[in-house]
Amino acid sequence: MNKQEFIVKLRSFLRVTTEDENSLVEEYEAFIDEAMANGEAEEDVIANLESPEEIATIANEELGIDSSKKFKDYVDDSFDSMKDGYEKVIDSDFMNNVSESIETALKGVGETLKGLDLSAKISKAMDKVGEELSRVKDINIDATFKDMAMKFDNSKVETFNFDQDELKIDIVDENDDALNVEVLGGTSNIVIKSLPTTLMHTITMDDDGVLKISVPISNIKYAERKRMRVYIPNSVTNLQLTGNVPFSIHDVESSIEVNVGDAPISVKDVEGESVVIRMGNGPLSVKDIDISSLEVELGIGPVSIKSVDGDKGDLTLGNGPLSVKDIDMSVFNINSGNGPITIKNVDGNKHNYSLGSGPITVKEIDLDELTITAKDGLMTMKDITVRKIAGDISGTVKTLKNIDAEEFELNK
Amino acid sequence: MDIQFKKGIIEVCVLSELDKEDTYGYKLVKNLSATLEVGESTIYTMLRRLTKEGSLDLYEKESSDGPTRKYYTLTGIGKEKKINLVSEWRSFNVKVNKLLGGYDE
Repeated sequence: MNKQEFIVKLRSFLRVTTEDENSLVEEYEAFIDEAMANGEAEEDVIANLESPEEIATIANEELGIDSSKKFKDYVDDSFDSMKDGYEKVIDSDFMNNVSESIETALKGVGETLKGLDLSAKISKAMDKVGEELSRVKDINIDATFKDMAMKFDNSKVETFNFDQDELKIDIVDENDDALNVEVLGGTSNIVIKSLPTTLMHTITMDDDGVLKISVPISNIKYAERKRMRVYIPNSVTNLQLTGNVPFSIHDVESSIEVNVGDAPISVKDVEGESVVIRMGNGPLSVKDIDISSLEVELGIGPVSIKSVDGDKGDLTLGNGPLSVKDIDMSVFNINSGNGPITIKNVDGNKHNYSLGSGPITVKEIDLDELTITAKDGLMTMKDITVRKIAGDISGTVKTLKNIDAEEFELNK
Repeated sequence: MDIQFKKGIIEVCVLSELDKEDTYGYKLVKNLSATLEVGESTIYTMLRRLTKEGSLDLYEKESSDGPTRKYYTLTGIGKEKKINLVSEWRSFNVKVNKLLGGYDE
């Protein structure tokens, strides 16, 4: 079992509040990281820990929401609103269209909530609701949830709309080839769990507006081509994504940090302080970005960076293909292995391009200073206006025309 | 050993360790588990409970050889609790040793 699988299992067994769960998980992640930093192998560290079931048993007993007072506090804090939500569901028109078994299950929750001491029944009823809801094609629930944890078997199509709290979650099964999560704002902490054997997503937003979305690697097969589309509320100031699921992020007004393995990533229409993307291999598409700094680091492309305004950019790429177009960036460092590489329509102050083999095309460049190093391959440079151009081109220069430079220190 | 009895002892030890110096979870687990037969889950859940009840506080500190660590520190409530528990433990220990005949006050 690796770290990711261990954490997924641990979360699945924990029956504590979300804050307690996140705190424990952070401690275990830190423990594993520390041990690995001390030279222990990941599998050995985990093998020497108690099992996720054993840990959860201790934690549930010590911190669990089933224990009397803690459960009462939990209920006081969150279940009143939950109860209101369910009553609205029961009264709403949609109930006329869903199966009797769901109505029974939801009413069961309502009844259970009236007797707050019946904690075990609530837990069972929640599981039951999850099972029943999974058979429904389309459900709308209006509710106000400050802190919510629900478990679903997402073998079927599920759609949940928490409009009052401006939380909308659409989970579509593999037959529809997509998973949609929409968080419109106002919800401080959300955890969505499915069964450990299927799919598990953790979505949390802290008080500082940091939204973290994590999708474990082991539970999603690349071949299924699932794609996670994330619509981010304005209240989020920093979006952090981890996992191996393909992400499509657009219309975001926050900083973004993406740490993923090999998966197609698309980032579009972003206004924020920074965009940081660290990933295994592409494809990667970054488009229509207005930010202070851009940092991209990945193995193999293809990579497309288009329509980016910013102060500083750093792009490190093992091998292409690489396409950089329509850029207005004061300082931009591009370090790429082999191409093909195209850099076109670029404005800015000081750019440094260190490129491997071609074919390489650099054209329509308007800068103060351009330093360019190209190791091999066919090089095309044209329509370049700079105060100074410097560098070293080792390969074959196919085309070199319309170079307007006060200082020309380019070796070729 | 009775589990509740053991938990009580571990709680005194956790508070005492943190009274000596602020420390982070991994180090505390390693220190305590080297002396006592205790699983990390017992310590971590105890740390969480003590934090929630106000006996401990948390702060982050940069590490020179790894990621930023979360350090636990005793609060005023925690220091008072530690003093009371240590006092209870010593008093209890003396009485038990007297009964066992291995120790004179």
